[in-house]
Amino acid sequence: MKNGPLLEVENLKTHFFTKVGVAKAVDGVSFSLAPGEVMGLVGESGSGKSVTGFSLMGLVDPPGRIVDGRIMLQGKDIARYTDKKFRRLRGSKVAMIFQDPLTTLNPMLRIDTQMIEAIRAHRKVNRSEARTEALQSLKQVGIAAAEKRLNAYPHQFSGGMRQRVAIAIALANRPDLIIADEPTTALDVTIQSQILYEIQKLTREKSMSLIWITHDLTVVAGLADKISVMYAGRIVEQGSINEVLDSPLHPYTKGLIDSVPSRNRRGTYLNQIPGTTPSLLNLKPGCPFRDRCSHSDQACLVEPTVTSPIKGRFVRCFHPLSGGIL
Amino acid sequence: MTIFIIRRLMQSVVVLFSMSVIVFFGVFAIGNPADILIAPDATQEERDIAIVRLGLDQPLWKQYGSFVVNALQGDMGQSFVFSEPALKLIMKRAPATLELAFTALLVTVLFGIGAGIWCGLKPDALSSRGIMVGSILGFSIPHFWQGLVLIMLFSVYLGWLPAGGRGETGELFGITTSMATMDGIRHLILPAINLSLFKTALITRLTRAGTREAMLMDYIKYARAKGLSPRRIVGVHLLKNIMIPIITVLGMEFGRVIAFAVITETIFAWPGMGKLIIDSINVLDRPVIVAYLMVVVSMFIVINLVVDILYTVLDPRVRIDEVGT
Amino acid sequence: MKKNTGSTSTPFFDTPMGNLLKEYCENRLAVLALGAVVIIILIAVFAPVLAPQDPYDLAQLDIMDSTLQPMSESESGMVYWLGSDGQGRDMLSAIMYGLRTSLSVGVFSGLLAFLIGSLVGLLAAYFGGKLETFVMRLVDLQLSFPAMLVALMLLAVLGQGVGKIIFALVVVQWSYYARSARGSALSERNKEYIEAARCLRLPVRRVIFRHLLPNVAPSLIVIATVQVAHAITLEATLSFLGLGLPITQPSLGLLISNGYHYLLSGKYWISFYPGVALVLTIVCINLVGDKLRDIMNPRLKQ
Repeated sequence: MKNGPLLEVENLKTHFFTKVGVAKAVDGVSFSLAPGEVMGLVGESGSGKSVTGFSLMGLVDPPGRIVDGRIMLQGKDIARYTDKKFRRLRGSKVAMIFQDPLTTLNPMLRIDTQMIEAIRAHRKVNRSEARTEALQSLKQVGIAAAEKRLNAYPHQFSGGMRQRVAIAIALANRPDLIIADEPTTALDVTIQSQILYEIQKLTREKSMSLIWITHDLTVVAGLADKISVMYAGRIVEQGSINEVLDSPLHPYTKGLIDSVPSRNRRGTYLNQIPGTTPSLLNLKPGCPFRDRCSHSDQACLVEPTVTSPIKGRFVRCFHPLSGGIL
Repeated sequence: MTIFIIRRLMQSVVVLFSMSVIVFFGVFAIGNPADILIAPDATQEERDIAIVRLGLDQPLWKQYGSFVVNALQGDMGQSFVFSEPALKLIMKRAPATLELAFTALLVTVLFGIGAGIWCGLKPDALSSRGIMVGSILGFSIPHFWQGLVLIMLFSVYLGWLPAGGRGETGELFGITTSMATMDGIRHLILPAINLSLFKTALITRLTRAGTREAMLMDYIKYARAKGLSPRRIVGVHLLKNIMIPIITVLGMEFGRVIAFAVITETIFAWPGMGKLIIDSINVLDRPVIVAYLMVVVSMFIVINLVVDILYTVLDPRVRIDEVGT
Repeated sequence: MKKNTGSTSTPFFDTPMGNLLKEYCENRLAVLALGAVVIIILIAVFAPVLAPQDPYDLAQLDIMDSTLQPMSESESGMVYWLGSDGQGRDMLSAIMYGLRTSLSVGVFSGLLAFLIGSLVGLLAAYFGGKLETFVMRLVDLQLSFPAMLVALMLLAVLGQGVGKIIFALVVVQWSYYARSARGSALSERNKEYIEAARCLRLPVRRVIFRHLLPNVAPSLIVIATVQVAHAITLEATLSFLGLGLPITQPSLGLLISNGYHYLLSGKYWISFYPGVALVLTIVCINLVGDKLRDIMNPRLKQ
């Protein structure tokens, strides 16, 4: 177990059974994560990356549910866990940081209440011990005058501060894995980098694994060890961060990289991916990206399987880009 | 906060003042004031003396002045029927009404919030649908007819509970109440249910709507992500957030309960001030009517004031901001 | 120009009213309720034709037929489907006549309150300023007291009578219309088409009635349905308490009140069946109102 992966997701399928049809939000996602490893899960909105995160937490709400696949956490399959069993993992082994810090903290409860309850939900400690731990945790994430701030209500904090509190709560039980669902998207750029730095530092220090869900390639570029690119419920490309960013194999990944403005290309037009993400309801068979892809042909009418043209890299495409390395 | 309370208090005084004007001109100026204040069986001579004594020959604004002065001293005239000060008469009957109102409110809180949360958490369950249909009936069936059906069912046919009266009262913590005796409680059940049905339906729907809305909020999902038990999520995270509108409505409904007690008391012969006002209207005991109106108006103003203050106390966002300024 | 796009095949359902109708018909319960409301109105209108007996023609009553059980037959061969009351009156006929009174009082007072309230609300919204402040203060003041209590106060002062109860009901209800009319008119007023109408220097009357009113009307109609049900309930309640209509024009409330004493001795039908008629009426009107509100409220549409 020591050397095995912390998390292994195999062929995860989470579908939403709505009145107008089945939305396959996550449709056969597989990846693995070693202890202390940081993975960026990148995709446009609606690509299923958040649902993947929630699936790992057992927080998929009806009409959605996990219909297939395995989620091996430290060797145990948690995909079929009941809510009660899942509850023991949430916040203790796996913690989550949400996108919008303005809405995730309960506005009616003081910070200390919200921190103490998180600690006491998983460990038998008394109130004052839990409070001391909460205080430690707050200090760790760089909140000044933490003692005083414990008694405050969420609305007395700025957005960045609230996200720090959310991080402190996530860290409070020293989880093995943190799932961060676009935690910096709602923040100012300067605050963004502070939060990024903070999370990076803390996960390194405590050798926690991290799944960073985002639509922003630049954020994961400096943070993640590896990257998974999601499109229409599937992971289309996977590999180490540098390799993928330097030489993307999937046309979609390349499109994403090209649409990031950069200093080196000032004055030239940004490349954009034509069209929009397809609706996940009643998706046509075949490669879901083919309508937006310049490389698509007859072969793409069939769903591509995952191939590994280079060691350690995976791509779901019939026409992987060579990028000068193949 | 203090500024807010003072401002709110001043508003209340203005409302009370305008209501006294309306009641005064309503009851005293429409129709012949002499008929209102002098017993109908008085002779002409007695009438003339009384008119001068009561100052009814004075101009209207002067009469209003003396009405206010007297009212402030608690003098609202003598009841024709009981030959007692009208205000005293009402105060004697008020405890019975308040007891009924508080019991009804308690029933409302227990059942309304409980059923509302249940329906909000399981909106598609058969039981929830049943409760919601029941709440529509609770809304639509007129109050007085609900009372009649309750009597028909539980008193006349099943014979379980008495159809009317207050029954035996006793002392409990120094308060005279029906709660002290079994007989008293048996008499209290049907009127309390009658008075609470409508409110229960209302609170159920309100709580359900609040619950459904709150359960979609991020902070609930976040609380689940922390691994909290459902009991804590519902009992603390959810309840604290849906409580403010519920308490506000409950406060306002308390006033309504007192108003609707008029009906319940009439049906169940409950000796409260609601029954008194109906009896007084039927025999044109107008000083009692005036006194009742002023008492109820004052009660409403106090209730509205309390609800407003409670609102600011309950919501930390409002509370802190007010302190800050 | 020559090409016919063919979109004229269902012109009716493209109009706002047509869409509304289509959406309304999607709910079976609501359609059922609407049908019931229509039937109830027809019964009320044609009560003199439909009723087996004129319950207020003393010549037709026989004291020997008093407090008969439902379904019993009198000596003259008449069947009392719903029994008879203390004066030997056929309850079914009494209910039909009572429905007539209850509905007409409810609808008439509702209509009057609708007119007065919406006009005041529209004027307040259009002109703003002191008029608006005054009207809205009055509305707030009144709405802070239960309608029941306000009506009770008024009738305590005024005494009984058809005119008086209608007056009381109008006083109680106008504020709902005024508040809603002002609310929707305010949000409409700031829209550009009103600005445009004003810039054209159209007369105030025209702006209010031709431009504001049609846009405010939907929400007012929803309130009107609910308020008519409310007025019927209120009238029945007041009549039950002996403060409403005089005995010469018995509404459902008075019928229930009359049967109240018989109820305690087990003769339930004298007040039970009028109550059922009352409840059915109110429930059906409320169901129609609920559905209308769902359709009109865009926030609930999904």
